[in-house]
Amino acid sequence: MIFVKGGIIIFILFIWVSTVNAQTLLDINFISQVPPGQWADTLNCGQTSYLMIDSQIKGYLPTPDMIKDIDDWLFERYGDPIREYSGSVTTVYKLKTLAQEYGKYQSNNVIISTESDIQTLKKVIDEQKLIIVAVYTDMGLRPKSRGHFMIVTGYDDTHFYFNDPGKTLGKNNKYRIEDFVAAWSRQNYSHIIFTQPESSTQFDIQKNLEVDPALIVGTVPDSSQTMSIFSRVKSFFSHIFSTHTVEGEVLNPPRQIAEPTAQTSIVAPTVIPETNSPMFDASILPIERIRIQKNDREALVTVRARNTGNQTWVRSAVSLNVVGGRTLNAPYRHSSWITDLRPTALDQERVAPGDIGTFTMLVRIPVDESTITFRTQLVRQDNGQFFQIGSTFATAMIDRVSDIIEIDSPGTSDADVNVTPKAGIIRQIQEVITDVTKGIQDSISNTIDTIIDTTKFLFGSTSPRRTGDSSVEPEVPLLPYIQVVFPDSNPYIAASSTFEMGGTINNMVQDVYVQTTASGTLSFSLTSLTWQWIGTLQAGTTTFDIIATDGQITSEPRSLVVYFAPTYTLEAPSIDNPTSSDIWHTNSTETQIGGTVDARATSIIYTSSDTNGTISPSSSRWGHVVTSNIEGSTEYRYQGIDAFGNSSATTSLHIVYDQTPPQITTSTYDRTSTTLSFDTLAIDTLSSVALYEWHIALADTHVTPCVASTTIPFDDIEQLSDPCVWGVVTSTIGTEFVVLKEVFREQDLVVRVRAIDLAQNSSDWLYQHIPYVASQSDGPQYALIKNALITEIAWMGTKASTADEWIEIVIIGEDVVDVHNWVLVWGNYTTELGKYANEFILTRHGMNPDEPLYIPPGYPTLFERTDDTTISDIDNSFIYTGALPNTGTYIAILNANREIVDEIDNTGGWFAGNNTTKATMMRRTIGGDSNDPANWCTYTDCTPADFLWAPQRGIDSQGNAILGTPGGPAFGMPILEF
Amino acid sequence: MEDRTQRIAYSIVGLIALFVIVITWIQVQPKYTNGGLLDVDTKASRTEVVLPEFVSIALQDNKRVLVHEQDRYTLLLEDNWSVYPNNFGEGISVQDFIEPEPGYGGMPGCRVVLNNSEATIIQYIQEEEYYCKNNLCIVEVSNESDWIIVKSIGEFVGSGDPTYLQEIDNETYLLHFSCANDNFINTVTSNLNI
Repeated sequence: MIFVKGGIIIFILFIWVSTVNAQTLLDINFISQVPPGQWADTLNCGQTSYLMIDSQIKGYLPTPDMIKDIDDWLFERYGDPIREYSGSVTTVYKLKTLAQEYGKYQSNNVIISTESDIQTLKKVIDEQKLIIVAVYTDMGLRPKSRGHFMIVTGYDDTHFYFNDPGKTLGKNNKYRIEDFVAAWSRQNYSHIIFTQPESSTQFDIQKNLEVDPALIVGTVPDSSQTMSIFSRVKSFFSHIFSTHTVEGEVLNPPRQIAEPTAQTSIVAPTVIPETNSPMFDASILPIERIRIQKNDREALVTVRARNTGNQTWVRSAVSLNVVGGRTLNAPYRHSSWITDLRPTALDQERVAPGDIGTFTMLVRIPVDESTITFRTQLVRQDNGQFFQIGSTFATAMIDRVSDIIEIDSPGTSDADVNVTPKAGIIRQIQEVITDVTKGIQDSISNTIDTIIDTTKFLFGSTSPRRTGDSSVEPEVPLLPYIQVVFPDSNPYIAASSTFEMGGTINNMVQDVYVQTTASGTLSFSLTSLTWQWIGTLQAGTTTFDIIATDGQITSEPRSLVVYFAPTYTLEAPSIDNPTSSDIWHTNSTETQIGGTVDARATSIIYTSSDTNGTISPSSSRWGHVVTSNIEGSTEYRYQGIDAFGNSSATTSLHIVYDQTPPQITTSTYDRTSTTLSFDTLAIDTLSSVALYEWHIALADTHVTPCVASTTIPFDDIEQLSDPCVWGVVTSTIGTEFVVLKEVFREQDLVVRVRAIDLAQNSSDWLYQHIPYVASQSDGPQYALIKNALITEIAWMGTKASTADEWIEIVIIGEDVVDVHNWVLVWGNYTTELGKYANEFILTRHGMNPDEPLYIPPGYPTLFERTDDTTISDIDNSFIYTGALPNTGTYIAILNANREIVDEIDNTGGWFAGNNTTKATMMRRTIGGDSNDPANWCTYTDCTPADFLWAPQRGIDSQGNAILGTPGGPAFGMPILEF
Repeated sequence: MEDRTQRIAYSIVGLIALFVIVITWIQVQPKYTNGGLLDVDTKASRTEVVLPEFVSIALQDNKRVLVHEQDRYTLLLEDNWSVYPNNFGEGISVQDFIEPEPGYGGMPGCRVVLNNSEATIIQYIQEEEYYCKNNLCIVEVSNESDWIIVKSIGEFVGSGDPTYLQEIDNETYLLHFSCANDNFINTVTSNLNI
């Protein structure tokens, strides 16, 4: 009865005190010091406390890996053993060094203090400074307490609140002020005050609350919970009239809820109002020790539990679950069980709040076990998930009677004679343990139940520790459960293709699966209850479904979406239509532009001064049509873009829209008996003139142009079977020169000319009449010049015959040259004789040697040895006799006055040419010294860069191709045949 | 003037020499001296250790022995063990490490708190179960030789640290181990004479 009254008073006092005295509570990131490491070995309290504070100040979420990083750092800095990441002992000095050197805090932002005044400490908390205090685990209330670090998170009139890394449920644990001070004093009041560096972002408690208010409203263990029932009862009577130490808090600890205030960002603990929200809770009643016969292989176990929630239990949803997982309980699994993990469901159909429900099950007893401790817990199934009801386990102790009997039997047997006094005590303990346990537990349970019932009667509340919305309460999943700890956001944007994720599992898990299209390696530990996946992300979005299973039941999948955008530079789009050049002239209003693009590009962005848009490539090609309406130049720019935002350089094309034709300003002609030269000039504003085109026809049939005239290249005209034909001559420049064919000589001619610009606009035709000049027979009208070059020497002969040697000369300059009586000489010059070893006077074959022999500039002239078949496809060359020695010789061409026109001294050996392949010795340029070996090349080594180079031509007497260009100089002139 | 300067110089040299002598003397002093049967083990401890008056350290065959007259037990101490009063309650703390300076976190070795109580083993088990109700752990009870071993296993620092209990003459001897090092535990139970 005293307990009942005491409980009521305690409850009332508690609510009053909590309501009146609530002061300050900060929401500081929490992470327990395990994982990493093991709870049995962990020494990471200092490391973890620092991490919580650092993460709070710098605004990130702490992870177990970060604790590992700190352990690694401490190892490198101090040689502190890592101990499989259970860490090493730390001190306030090490933590300060850690903060300064690892966390880059300034010294004045990390202050070690031994100031012992509580009011000062409260003031520091009010200033939102973060404090690590050196205390003891459980605030020294247990004999096994050890040195420990915690973070102070708040206070009220009777308690201080702490983030205790030493417990999984360590967030905002509260301890009585006197307990805290006692533990703190044993550590010489050591604490570290962290102030926020000015450069960092103000840590925003209000913001944190918005993100996860449950961080504050979660379970708030009380230091009084670490005291025994007896201690608390004793304490109650000794403090029953004290307002500072209110016993019974253990039975009625107030739920602390965050009430964010805009002004202070400080959370004041308040009492959560009583609600009628659904709440499941249970009080498991003690289980009488079970005794079975020696040969029994199974035991009947009944678990009794009181429904202390406000919801009725129904058989279909409430059952028992084994503790420890499938493997541990496999020896006890009875065939009557529902599953490997759930022995039985609620015996009753329904159990109302306040009533006692039972769970009856058979437990298999292994032959070799004499004493069994079998634990179960109440669970409820909700929407496919299981949640624990209450927070305690039902422990059934099962003994084989034969063992008990031997101990319990009167001391008359031989066995008893040998029992030591201490063993006898043990037996008595074992014997008494059941009765005492039952008596004490029933007493406690009845007391608690009475208090709860009375509380309900007075306040209409349910179990005080479990008040509130059950959806907010941290439920304990009993099915395999997996959690993603890192990355800390979902969806997550990865910075690189190498991706790492991980988290925790509960001890129900036997296996973990990760379903994803990415390749990687999954690992998990059933010891540390952690899992990790490391792999390579694909570009774009990758989905992970992380599932844990106990072999039979799978957990709720954890889906994680990770986005990875690779970074690179795309190749710039190329343009090959209408041109690969960067400028295009057109007289069309529409222009098709297209080309190739980087295969990774998903679109091409184009811009110009008057339009822009996107183009979708197909098969690495792209194209579109642009429209031009106004003459002028428009630049179109093209840039490739891929799905991840990567772009290319810009490719440009200038479209010059031009519909205006060029205009011919001047056009003149020069005619000889055999030649006709043109000189025309046209202008164009937007586009330059691309081509001049002259059409030549006989004037007598073309006084007026043919109506339906046809055109053929002028050089192709040998005969005029159709008089209505234009012979066409073109040039990209305004001058041109043609040698009139016989059919045009001594005839009046008509010439028409036009200019075509780059946009294909054509000027009008300009017609001109070119009369025959009859006075040509009176003699040459041209000034004679002595200007010619030896351009090619086939000293090695041809493949057909080494004797088929030939020489080529070219008249250079601007005027026709009369080569009559010029002399080709080679070999040694004999002064006495006044002549060279070999001399050949150029005389037109079959003609009067005194007649002039005119050669136009640029025309090649061939000298063939012995006969005209040396180069079989070129007729009427000069034919000479005499061999050119393969060892080299002096060779020159002299004019009629025997003045040297050109000479090459090869007496030391020919500058070029190949006697094996019969590739000729060819001159490279018109300029330069003829006697410079560098001015000569073997034809097969010559290149188009050489001015006098031309494609191979000529056939020898046996049909072999000449490795040279007989009669094929750079000027493109036809061979002048004699 | 010159004499005065000389005197000052000699004084400085003398002070330095005296300082060196003092430091040298301090360093050559033995780190630990066993002063007698009642000598308190302050071995290398940097703070004064005051044990209860009914606790003493005796020498036996050149070995230290913890003698608890009131609780009627002795414990043969290993060379590296230190003895302290229990910080937060009754009993004596024996540990294989020197208590660090205040302001630390963690347990740099193994510790056992020896205690004697009128409370029964059952009561102790009940207390542990109550602790576990609030800390998500389970209580495991086993027996080994004459000892009842109670462990609380859960997600908190010190999970699995055993307490050895034995009831003799209506008294319960408790050995609260703050580690799970079998070697240390076995040595304690072997060296303990109740």
